[in-house]
Amino acid sequence: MGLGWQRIAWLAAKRLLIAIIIVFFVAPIILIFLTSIKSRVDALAFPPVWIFSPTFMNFEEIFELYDFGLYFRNTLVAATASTIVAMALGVPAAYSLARYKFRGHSNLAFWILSIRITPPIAAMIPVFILFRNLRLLDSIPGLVLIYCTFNLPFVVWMMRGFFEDLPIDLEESAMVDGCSRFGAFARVALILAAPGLASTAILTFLFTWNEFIFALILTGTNARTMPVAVQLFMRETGILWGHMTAAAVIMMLPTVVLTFFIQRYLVRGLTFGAIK
Amino acid sequence: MNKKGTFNRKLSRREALKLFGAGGLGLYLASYVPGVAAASAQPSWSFPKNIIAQPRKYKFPAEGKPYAGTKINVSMVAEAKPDALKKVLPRFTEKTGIEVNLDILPYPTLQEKQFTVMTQQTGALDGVHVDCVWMGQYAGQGWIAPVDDLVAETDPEYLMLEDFHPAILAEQCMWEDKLYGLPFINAIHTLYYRTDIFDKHGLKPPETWEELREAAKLITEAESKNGVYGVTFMGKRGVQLLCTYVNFLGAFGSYFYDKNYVATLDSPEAIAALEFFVSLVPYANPGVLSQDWDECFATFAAGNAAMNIQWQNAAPGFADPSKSKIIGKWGITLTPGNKLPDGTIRRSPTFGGWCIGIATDSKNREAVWELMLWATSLEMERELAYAMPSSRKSVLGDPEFQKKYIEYETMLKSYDYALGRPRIPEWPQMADLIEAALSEAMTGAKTPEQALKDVNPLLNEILMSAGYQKA
Amino acid sequence: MTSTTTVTAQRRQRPLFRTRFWAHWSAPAIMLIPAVVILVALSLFPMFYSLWLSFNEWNLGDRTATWRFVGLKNFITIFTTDPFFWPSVRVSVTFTGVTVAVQTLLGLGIALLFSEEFRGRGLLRTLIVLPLMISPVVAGLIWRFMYNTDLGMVNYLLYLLGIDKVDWLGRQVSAMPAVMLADIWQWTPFVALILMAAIQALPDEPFEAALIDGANRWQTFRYLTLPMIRPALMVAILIRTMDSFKIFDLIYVLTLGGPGVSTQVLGLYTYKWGFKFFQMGYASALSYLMIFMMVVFANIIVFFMRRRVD
Repeated sequence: MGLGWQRIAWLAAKRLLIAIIIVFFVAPIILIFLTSIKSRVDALAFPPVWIFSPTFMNFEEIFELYDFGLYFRNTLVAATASTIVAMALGVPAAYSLARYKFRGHSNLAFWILSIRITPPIAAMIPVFILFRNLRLLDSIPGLVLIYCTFNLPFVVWMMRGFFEDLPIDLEESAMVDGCSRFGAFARVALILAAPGLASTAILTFLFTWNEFIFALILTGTNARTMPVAVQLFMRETGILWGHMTAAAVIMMLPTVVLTFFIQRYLVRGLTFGAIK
Repeated sequence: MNKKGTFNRKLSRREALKLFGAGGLGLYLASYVPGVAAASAQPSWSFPKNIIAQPRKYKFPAEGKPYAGTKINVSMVAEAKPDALKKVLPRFTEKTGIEVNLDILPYPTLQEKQFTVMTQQTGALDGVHVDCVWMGQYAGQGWIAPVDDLVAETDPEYLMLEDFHPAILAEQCMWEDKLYGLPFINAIHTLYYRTDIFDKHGLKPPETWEELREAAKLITEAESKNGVYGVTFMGKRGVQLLCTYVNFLGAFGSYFYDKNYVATLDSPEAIAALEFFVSLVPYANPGVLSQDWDECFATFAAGNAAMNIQWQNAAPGFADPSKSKIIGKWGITLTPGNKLPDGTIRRSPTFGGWCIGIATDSKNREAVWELMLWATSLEMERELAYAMPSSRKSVLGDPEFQKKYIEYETMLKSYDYALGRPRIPEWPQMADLIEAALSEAMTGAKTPEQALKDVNPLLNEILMSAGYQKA
Repeated sequence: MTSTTTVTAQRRQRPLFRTRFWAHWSAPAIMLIPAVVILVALSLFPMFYSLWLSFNEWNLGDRTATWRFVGLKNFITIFTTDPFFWPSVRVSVTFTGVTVAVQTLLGLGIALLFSEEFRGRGLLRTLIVLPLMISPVVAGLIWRFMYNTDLGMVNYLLYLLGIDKVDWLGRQVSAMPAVMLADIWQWTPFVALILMAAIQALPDEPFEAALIDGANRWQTFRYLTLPMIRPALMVAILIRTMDSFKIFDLIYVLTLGGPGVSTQVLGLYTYKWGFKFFQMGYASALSYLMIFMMVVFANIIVFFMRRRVD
């Protein structure tokens, strides 16, 4: 065949396309990062300045002036606690759905999935009223509880797929050796599904970390999380871009880092295990 | 049910008689639109006698820190004055021992956050900042409680309730003849104009809307090639556009609804007001219809418009060299009005502002009252004036302050004509519809007449289903 | 663990059928029931509650207000006199249609571009995935900054080309496309990622055979790749349609539904009735209509999925 000029042009075009795509998807994120470490004057310059002396003033100020430490802690606590609760309840449930084919087990599984698909805004109204009567509004336990409605189905659905992938023989032989059902689950299945377990937990954490609607409606001042708190920087008289971008960077950081760890299971996680 | 309404500022018989002398349409309006009624240029505001404290032994401001250790949660809007208050709060804590958790939130989410907490009725929120148009929802529906009893126990020498401008007190803090809080942040629409451009063309600041349009036309024709347009305003759909329309609506002799709660936006006067407003668009800068507060500010501060209809709170920015290119080249005056047959001018500068109220479920009423007293005291009002203007007559009228803050004189004058928006609990719903209609008319999607005639029945429906109207 | 075994050992003494039943079902029941109970409490109960609420009128903002049964009034009002319901449906449907279509096509293109081996492919693929993992709120902030009239990157690029500043989010005509672009930026990687995985999992033999038969690129794509990745494609479309239709965060941050009602999606409109006007009954009715529409859309897509497979 040889490298005819047509082929070279085709290759070059492809490379160029890939470059454009990468720039389109990555540049905005880098831009936000750059803005967050600019001084106020540099951040508001037009045309934008590209060479500047970086400063962490914005980061310091959002913690000093806006109580961002509290919102950070709230987000972290709510995300961690709800991940633990969802895993603790969801993993055994997933195991029993994967291993026991009782009548209606697939209906139950689909019902669980459908909860995840319901628009949160639709669930919001009754939940708000329920929480109001239970005095759970604006509290971290309330948030953790409500995050279960979308974390639990996710954990069940994901882990069910992982357990189904495991060969059943190992558990059976463990039970022949005298392990109980729980023993087989805890000693064999859980260990074998460890990578799936870890990636499910990480994805659950990330979804919760990023969650906005529930936090928007169910929190006031005490339990306010970071995604809701960014509104502090949008004022009638203009947006405080330095603070805003600093907050955005703090929110993005864990997601970016953790994404690298769960590459392998990302597709599975994002499609509820529909694609492995 | 029918009684709870906007027009709770009762006029005394004598005042009413005085107003009925104003003549023309004003006579009809006098009974229910205080701002318009005042168009006779005779201030109609008087101080409600029943809430002035009687001399006795006073509990407030308290001696010897009786509330030390109390922690109160207060929610306020993200504007310059609460920010300034937050900075000096340590002094309050030192003085009284009361700890204040002041949560400052931007306007769009403030109300729902306050409600999220208040609706549980646990008293988790003690002090709330209430926009005047929310009074129906907050006071009328029982979320904040009257403070008359606290006033009675407060040293009048310290409180000086009569020093607050009565218009401000009535619009921002009163509901059905009861006081529900003290004013903190007050605002009114004014007209800014460029003194240099007006001098160049031999113009005087307009007194009537007609004069304003003529001046805007003249300046646009002469100066638009230099990037300077006749007028600018907040034309983007939203609460600001609606507020701007009030300046015209009252001046043209109409209001959102009449005393029987029948919507009147399809009246010839309301339509004429909107038609006039729309007729200013050709003489405004090209981006006027996407301007909110900050964009409008930026247009005038950059020198791209010769006149600007905006809240008085833009004034400090125009005098700030880091934000403004028009330092020393601008003036501020009352929003124009329409000339009545007797020669007086009927104006209706839009009224806005906030009150600090005490949540009904708060368990720390006294501590919140201490904070309110301190934050709105004469001393603090003078100190915080650098952030936003005071609500006190003595500060607004102080020659020294008037020199420093150019807008004070105009504000004082404007309050005599100020026209507020309805404050019934259903207003947010109605406002949403009206904002959409105004936006349609401004952008030319509908004629002003069509837009208003389309929206009027929808407003009536709300008013009827809320029980104000008899079917 | 020993205690568990002893318990099981003791059970062996009991009558046969009960032991078997219990031995078989105790474990799954104990494992499953807590999760199901929580989900019923947090989802099924509220849904029925909200269904009942949708036939009532209740102003949560009024301290003294109580429920008032109004039958179908809320639904009738929505369908007949509500001036913003149908526009909101239109906005939601347009938004969903356009973004899903563009994301599918773009995602497919990117997946194909990345299907061939080249240096640095792994890293670049990770980079593309980033928008997907960040919070929609942050994505909204990023684009709000990009679109900013005075200092945004978009206007800067136009400025380099000598074009005047545009107020992207403030204009009726440009707000919707601007919001769509932000959504496309965030979710195209989703489609791309799924399709990359699907393409990678394809067997080699049919493609080798096609090469021998002299099929060109387009033919291989049209008659081999596309049919083989169809299931993955449909899953991606299904999930994107559902998510797109319920969009809230991104629009809340970018435009709050404005200017006018040009970007007011159904989710935002429902939110307004619930948490701005506090009319809980009316908002419940709206939310039920939203769920109903989602079910209809999901079924349409599933119908197409099945039909093509058959």
